[in-house]
Amino acid sequence: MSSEIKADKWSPASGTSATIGDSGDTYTVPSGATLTASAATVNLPTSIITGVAEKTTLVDADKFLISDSAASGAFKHVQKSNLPSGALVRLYSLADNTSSVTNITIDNVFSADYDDYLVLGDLTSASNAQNLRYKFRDGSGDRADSEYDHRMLFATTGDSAGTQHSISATGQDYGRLTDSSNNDNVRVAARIALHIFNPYSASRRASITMTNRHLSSGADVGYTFGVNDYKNDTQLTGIKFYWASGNVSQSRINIYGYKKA
Amino acid sequence: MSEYIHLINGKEVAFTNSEIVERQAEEKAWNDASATRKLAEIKQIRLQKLNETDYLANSDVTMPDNVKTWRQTLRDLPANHTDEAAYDALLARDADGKLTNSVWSKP
Repeated sequence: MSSEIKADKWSPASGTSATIGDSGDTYTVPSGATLTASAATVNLPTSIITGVAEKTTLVDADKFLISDSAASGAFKHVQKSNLPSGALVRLYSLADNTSSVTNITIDNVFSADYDDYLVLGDLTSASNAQNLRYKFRDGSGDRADSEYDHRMLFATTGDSAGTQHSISATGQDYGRLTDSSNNDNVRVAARIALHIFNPYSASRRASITMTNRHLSSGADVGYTFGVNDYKNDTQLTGIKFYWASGNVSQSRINIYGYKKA
Repeated sequence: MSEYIHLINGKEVAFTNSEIVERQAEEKAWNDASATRKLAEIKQIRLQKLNETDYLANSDVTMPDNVKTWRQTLRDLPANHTDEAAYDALLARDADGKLTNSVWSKP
């Protein structure tokens, strides 16, 4: 160090403004030293935020700087996992997929983090007059044992009175979500809203309650109210959607977990 | 790529040969039952049509003969229509989704 200034106080030579150094200079406060601004006003450039790299996906361990109102405004950090949020946490999103595929499979979406889930989506079949089906999955793949039951009420517009009927089945090796549905991509074959209860529980069976809208094979608007049960209390981690025959021509699916607290 | 494709967590994965065989068997079973499903739909519509005129069978009402004949025609539909082409004709609808076969029209 070529020189050292020792003074108890720096003040402007005149007036109330002074400058430290010149553009390009770097001043370093050594580790272990303390720089206290107390209640002074500190003006910082906005580039301290905009000049650093952007992070586009938050994880639970990410931290935010706060002023703690319960501790005289002291600086503290809060983790993303503790930030308040809505009751729903989006866990999976498939946006407007128009590739023709045989099924939409979503793995590792159910976990101990949530008890219940909401599935919203729409799927259209490549062939007319198809039923939308699902199978739960675990680490070994599809759960294709004959443990699926379903009971549902269908109604379609159509003639003046519309048509209504109900169906039920037990011991199927798949679950069922709609009545016979159309293959019109514009009008969309099926729009589903499923509540899935306890898929990950090893002590309670998984159930689905649903309120779905489908476009009938005759292109009439119809609804499906119904329930599905899977009668094996195994831990399920995923779900697969597919039509009884033919491919899925377009699809869009979001899955949300309901926060426990 | 095969026409049989999984979309697993957003990634396309071709079916294995054994998966293709399994899927084709599933599709065949579904397609083979097409006529059965159509007949079931016809019976559902028939039931609704019969229900709509059941009140005419009440003791304080006289059912017109042409309605009696029509209801019997509905009851005889499965016996008189026995193949998928006949089922398709019964289930034909117009652009508004209305059934077009005259057999469904109450006289």
